[in-house]
Amino acid sequence: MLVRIKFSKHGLMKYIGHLDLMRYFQRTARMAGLPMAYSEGFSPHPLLSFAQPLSVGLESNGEYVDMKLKDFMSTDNIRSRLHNVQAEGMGIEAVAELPEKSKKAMASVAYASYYLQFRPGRIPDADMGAALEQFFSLENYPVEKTTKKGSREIDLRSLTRSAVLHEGSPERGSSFPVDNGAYLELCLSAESGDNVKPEFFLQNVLLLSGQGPYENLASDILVTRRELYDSDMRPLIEAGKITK
Amino acid sequence: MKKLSLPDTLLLSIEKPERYIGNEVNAVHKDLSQIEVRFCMCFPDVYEIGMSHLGLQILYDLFNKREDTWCERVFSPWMDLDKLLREKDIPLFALESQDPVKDFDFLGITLQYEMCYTNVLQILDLSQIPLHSDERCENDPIVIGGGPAAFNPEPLHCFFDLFYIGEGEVSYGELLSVYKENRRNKGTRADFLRKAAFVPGIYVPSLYEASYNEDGTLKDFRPLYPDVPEKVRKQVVPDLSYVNYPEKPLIPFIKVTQDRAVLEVMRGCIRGCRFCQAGQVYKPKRERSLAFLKDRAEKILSSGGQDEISLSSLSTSDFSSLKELTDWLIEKYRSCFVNISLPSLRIDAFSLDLMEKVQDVKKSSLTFAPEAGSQRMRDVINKGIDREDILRGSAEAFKGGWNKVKLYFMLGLPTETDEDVLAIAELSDAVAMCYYDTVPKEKRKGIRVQVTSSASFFIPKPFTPFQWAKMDGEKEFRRKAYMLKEAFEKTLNHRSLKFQYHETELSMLEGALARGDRRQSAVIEKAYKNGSMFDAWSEHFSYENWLKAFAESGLNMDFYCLRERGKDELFPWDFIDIGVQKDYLYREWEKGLSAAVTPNCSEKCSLCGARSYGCGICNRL
Repeated sequence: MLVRIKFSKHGLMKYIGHLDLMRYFQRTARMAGLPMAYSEGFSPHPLLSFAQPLSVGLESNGEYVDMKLKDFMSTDNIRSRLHNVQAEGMGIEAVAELPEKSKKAMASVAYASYYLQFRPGRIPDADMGAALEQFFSLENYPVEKTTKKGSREIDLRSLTRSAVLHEGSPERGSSFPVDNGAYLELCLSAESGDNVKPEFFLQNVLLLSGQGPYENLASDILVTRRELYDSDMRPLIEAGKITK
Repeated sequence: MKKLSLPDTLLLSIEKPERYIGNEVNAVHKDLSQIEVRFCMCFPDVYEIGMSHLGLQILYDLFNKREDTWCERVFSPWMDLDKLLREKDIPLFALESQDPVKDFDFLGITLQYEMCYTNVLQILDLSQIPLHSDERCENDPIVIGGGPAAFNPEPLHCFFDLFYIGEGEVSYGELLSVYKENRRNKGTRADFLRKAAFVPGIYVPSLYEASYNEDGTLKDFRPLYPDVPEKVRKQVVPDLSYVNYPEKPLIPFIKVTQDRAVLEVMRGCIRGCRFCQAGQVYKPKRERSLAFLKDRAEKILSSGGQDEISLSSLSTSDFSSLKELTDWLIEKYRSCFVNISLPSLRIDAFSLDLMEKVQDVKKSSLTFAPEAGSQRMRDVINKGIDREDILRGSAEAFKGGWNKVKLYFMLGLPTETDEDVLAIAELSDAVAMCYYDTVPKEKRKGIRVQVTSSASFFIPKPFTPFQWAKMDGEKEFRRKAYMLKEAFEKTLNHRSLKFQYHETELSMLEGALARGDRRQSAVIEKAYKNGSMFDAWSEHFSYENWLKAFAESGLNMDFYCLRERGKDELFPWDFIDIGVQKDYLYREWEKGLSAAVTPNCSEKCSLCGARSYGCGICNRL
């Protein structure tokens, strides 16, 4: 059976890198006594696949991993077994059974939503509202995206679904105390190749209104990923069903 | 959220923040209001090395089973954080509570190798605990050392309040009771140290004094007070099947050096190799019962979720239920893809058969440790294997499908001649030849056998028959290594052979510290203050620093390394009683010099003295 697990990663868990998290998940699945299915071949490994790596330093309310099991188990059972073995900061949010021939989480991801908060005392001297207004008034906003594989031009405007400035603090935002009265809620492309990181978005929007570039922007902000969506803006967990 | 000692931005600016946050699965947290003793356990190297150490997990579990004690961990901060802690004046903290180490009752530091000595000072310094025992005040933790290097604690004597000699399971209970009682009675730190001297296995260095002869050798070593014991006896767990063993091992987030469940099947070794310290200090050989091991294997794997379990000991081939245990593990865990790893096996048909069973597909490389090239040399060290064994083992391995072999050797063993050195190349060549003789051409699939021979430099260690021996000097080591390298190049199968050797400078320092005395504490402190740290990491090791520190302290490394000791010389570690007697070791030294072999403990008791512990293999005879 194929299951999709939605988990959250908060507090101290934000320091755990992606490779370590993968190993951690294998371990906890074993500890939970889940009958994981393994790959064939010379070095069999459990069939686990993560939707998208989360950078060290980010927290999340909605991460996904797909897991293949040899035997059937109700999703409620899987959820409670996994829940019992997690380290503090890791939460099993939901478990759903996927139809037999589902697309992998990795292939389904189209958008990700985020909360973005500034660290106390690190708020750039910028009119965020005006910058956003200017950004959304554009039809296209071509920017250079540099990755390990080189750099290419992307259209930041079409890859941005929404960006809203809110007052107060987000519910389930950063576990690290932030109190500066405002935060951004973003929904950005998360498709492979077109993935837009929150700080990249912010840097470019600020540049548009003639501000920055800010050198250490990534370390000035606290980012919490809220959810991952497919191309129909459905949270990934909705591809499966919950069984008792 | 649990609290953190370091600010979030700082953690995100350093390498591997996971080293410093704790929060691992099976980490123990307790309510401080219920705790009487706070113990901070330290492995003075980086997290990934320290967390691979079984002893730390055993003691962590042992202490935390006590309701009145909370044991936490600390490791050496890596260079990046070390610098920041100093700059920002942040005291070193324990992982679990993130509280400063200086607020603990005890700081226990395990001493696994000599190259960590400067890191001991790093830990004390960063913790803001005075480096010297006699400078500490009532509020500072009691600093206690243990582990194999504590069998010669003298070079570190002034940095530690106490040393624990032997296996931790035995006396810590009593030590903590003495501590609590002293505190109840409003006793001072000095009162406690005095009382601790009567706890079996505890050595209180400040209660002893050493004096030296004009030639620099130890003249006298005695307690300062008549009631303080003259000898400190190594502590030994008599029956390992009735002792605590961790059932819920700590599971690090980062990939650590030994990333697997560890089942310690026995302690001690019957072999009596004359260069080996572990072989003497962990005597007698004691096995755990099959029932105990099965029970623990089940518990560890279900609470830790590892995908590999290692059967650990000094010489796992000598564990009498090895076949039953591996068969049971295979039967039980094959379907859940748990690998079984069998380090330290002697290579023979039996163990190859076992290895074949546990790792049916991955045939990486096999390791043999002939230690010496010539038979005469192997007899000198009492290795107990001959050329035939090695070649037969190799042939079996090649037949079984292995085509990579690692061979371990030592250079500079006592009585070694150039002929003995060259025999290393000759034996390596014979092993390679054995492949071509054993595996027919059509079965080789075009693969050439790969024999990698590594040579380390022999370092005489305390409590071994070779503790009287002199080390070769650096020049001699290099001469032998180059000569051997040339010999390798001239072998018939040189294209299948690879030869590598250790760094000479690191070996010299290790040699000097291993048989060091109290006067070396000044050297270690100077080296640390001049910037030495992480000496075991070659990129951080500065030999010049150490040479300077020796010179400034008026000491000479050659005195410790290059000098053969006389029969009656008093050694700095002689006050420790490991059961094995000095006169037995001397007999072995003399036998070694004449290449006479001694049967192993299972063949015949050689009356070494370990029998005084009345347990393990000594009871069987």
